[in-house]
Amino acid sequence: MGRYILRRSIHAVFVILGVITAVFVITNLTGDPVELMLGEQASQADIERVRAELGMDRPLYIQYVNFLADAVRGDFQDSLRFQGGAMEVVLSRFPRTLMLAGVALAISVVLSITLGTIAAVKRHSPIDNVVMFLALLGQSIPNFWLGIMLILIFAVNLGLTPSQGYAPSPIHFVLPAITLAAPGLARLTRLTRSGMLDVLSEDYVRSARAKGLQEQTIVIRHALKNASIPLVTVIGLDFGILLGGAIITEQIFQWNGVGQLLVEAIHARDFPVIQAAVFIIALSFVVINLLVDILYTWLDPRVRLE
Amino acid sequence: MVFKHNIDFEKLSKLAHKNLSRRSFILGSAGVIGAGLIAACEADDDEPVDDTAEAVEDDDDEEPAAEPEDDEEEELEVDDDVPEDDTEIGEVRQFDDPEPGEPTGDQPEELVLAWGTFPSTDWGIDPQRHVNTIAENWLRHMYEPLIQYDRDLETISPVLATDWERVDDLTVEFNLREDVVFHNGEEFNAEAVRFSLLRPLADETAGDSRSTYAVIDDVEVVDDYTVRVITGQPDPALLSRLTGFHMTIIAPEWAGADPEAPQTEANGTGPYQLAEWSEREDLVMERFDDYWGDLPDIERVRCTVLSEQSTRVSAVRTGEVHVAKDMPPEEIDSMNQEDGIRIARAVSNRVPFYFITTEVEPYDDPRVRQAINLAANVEGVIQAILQGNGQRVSTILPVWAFGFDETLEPYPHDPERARELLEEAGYPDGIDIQLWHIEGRYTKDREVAEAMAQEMAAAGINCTTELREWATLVDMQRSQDTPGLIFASWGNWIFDADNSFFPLFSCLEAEDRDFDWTRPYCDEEFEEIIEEARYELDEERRAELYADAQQYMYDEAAALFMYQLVDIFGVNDWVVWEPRHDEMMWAHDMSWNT
Repeated sequence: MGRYILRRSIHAVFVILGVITAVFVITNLTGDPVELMLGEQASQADIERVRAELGMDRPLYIQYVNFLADAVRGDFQDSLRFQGGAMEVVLSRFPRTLMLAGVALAISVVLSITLGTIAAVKRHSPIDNVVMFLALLGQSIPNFWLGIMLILIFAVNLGLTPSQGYAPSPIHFVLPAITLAAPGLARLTRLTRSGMLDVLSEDYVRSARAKGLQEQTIVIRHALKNASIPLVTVIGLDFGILLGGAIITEQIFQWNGVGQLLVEAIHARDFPVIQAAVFIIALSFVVINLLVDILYTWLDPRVRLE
Repeated sequence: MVFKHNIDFEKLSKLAHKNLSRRSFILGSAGVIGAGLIAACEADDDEPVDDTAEAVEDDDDEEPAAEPEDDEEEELEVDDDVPEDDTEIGEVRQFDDPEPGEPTGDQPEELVLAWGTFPSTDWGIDPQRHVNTIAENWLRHMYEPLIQYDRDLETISPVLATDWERVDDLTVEFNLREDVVFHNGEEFNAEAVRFSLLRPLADETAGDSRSTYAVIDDVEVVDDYTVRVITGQPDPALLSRLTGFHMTIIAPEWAGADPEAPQTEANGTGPYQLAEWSEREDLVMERFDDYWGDLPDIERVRCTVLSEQSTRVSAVRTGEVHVAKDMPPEEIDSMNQEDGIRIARAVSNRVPFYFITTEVEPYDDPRVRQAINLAANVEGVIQAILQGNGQRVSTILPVWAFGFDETLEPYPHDPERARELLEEAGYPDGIDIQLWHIEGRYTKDREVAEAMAQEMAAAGINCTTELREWATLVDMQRSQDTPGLIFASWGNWIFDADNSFFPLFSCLEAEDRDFDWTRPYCDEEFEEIIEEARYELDEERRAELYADAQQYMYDEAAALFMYQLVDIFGVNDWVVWEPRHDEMMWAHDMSWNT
């Protein structure tokens, strides 16, 4: 068990290293942040001076080595656009994103397992058809469109929710969390349904029925636990998609989190903030998946033997 | 009282001297003012108005240009309900927007104002160091200058000064109000003015705008309520300069004790005082009850940012925001029809246009540039694409700028004449040109570019549109990779022709940028005119010189001339407000509709 966790952790470190390297390369490919910082009015001399101050006049590989050395210590230099260190700026916004993603995840897990299970148990019934149709919609409607439609219907026309903005009150979470949860919810519902269908036709379910166990007990205690093994993996992966999806959702709902920060930072070519934000998102993604892997060994003891 | 203002005059004058010698081979005497207006740059605040979703689209999309072969003239489609623009040249276009209707819901507890981007925050909320229009808009609630432009942007009115007088070519004397206190209780007097005017020039607290004001040599305290502003050279635009928001007056003891304090706190003399602010969050202000002037009607104001345009529109509709900038033209009718909200519009001070790389073939021939101006059908584009929300101008000056020539007609739409000019220039088969543009910064910028390119086909000009992200475009201009027409936009912020011509079309400026294509124009004859006008103290003579400059620029077709933008505001019917031309949304201009 200990060796398994150690091995997974080492994998995780390499994943994060790969991600921040990719971000470093890609941000540097997009051009020079200094000219953008100083604006169109700056003279060549100013540009060169600031470039030297920021160490951007050095060869790229030296910048990369410095960057990695700093990143390992969680130090991403000062933001070019916002006041303070890039990591501070990102961390100050991160709780809001995490909360939004958490609520969205909770919605999508609870609803999808319920709906998927019902659909599987009531296979080919009208309920099943409706659920599957909604799942199809959820997966195919683009996130930004769904968000705008929800605002139009529930905020502008019905006046039930605020149209935008972050505030630590449940009503502010409703629309953004639903928007963010929709694709994952649809995907998980389909997976739950197909997983349950597989499990419900297994021999041990038939045995359980033959033993005269209540259907409810069979579905929840025996079938669902086994069907949830692949679900756990997908939920782990979904969390990453939620953090990524937050970029669009936060922009639409003006949710002042890491996603919106990232968009602003990209517009401003604020390299340190882009790098720190992606680092934090990647780190949380990797940590969650590490936890999933560990959880897996508990759900499915066979995994440990591999 | 002891004030410290650590101004290194020696260094400043060296700086000026250095500028002088570097540039002397072109112009002997440009000196400090030269450096001055160069940085006068409210030209480009980062202010994307369209959706980010659109704005982050693939930068390198090459838009298909109009095929020169199929010469079928596709008429620009204009909606029937877009009224013709019958504004005379020199007049400011008016819009018949609705009066405030019956408000819906309860009277709001605070006024919420919304913009599309945050102010740039290099200096927090220090009013004297930004060069950003939105920052100016927010902070002018709390800080006031000595003098200020009226709504017409032509008349200068007293604010903290009561009157003023030019003592000699280098000196202007101001008498000050005697009944003014700062938010923290400090007293307003001549020392406070001296401290404040010199502060943005000091090394310790230098702002992005320092060179704009470097012409100011000293501020002399005559008595408690009289000051003299002394310049190094005759400066006809000094009063305009002093209306600039870097010249607002700030509580001297407080700001002198800690030069960084104004970045997070605020102590001015304005009608509102700071209630709460933190970086990238809303700015909240409350009415200052000891204000010297008329107390504003609205007690509490929140300035917020909603960068997503559709969200901003929704927030106006739901009543969460009471005045919002940059509503899309296509929403005007539907928002006007809704109860409780309306649209209010005003011609803006911002003028988009296209630079032309005049040293590159075929653009080096003025006839070719004239042909482009005749073929672009700017008026048609304003009607069809902007749905009438633009005011055509002859060159790059806004109508209220000092020096604006009311006799100069804009280029008409005349593709036939354009064809003839091309033939005369030796291009009987037409020309291929490129138009470099951006997206998402100003209303319908991409659509306007594409429509003009299509219109040019009728004159045998095959115009390829090249869409780039703004920063990428500037990079390319610097490395001279953008032959042809290049998008630019300028908000002349001292409302004087000098502040458009000098920073954009002077050899001095071109040379400062090593003649790259961020400023592709340099013409010695034009330079002589604007140089003379810059130091001419006789207003009539100065206006004549600028009329000459506009005629010259027009004949040379130094750029593709377009229009002044129109600002489109979404306004809640709880708010009574007439929009301004200088992009400012001020709570003290507004009142509750009760």
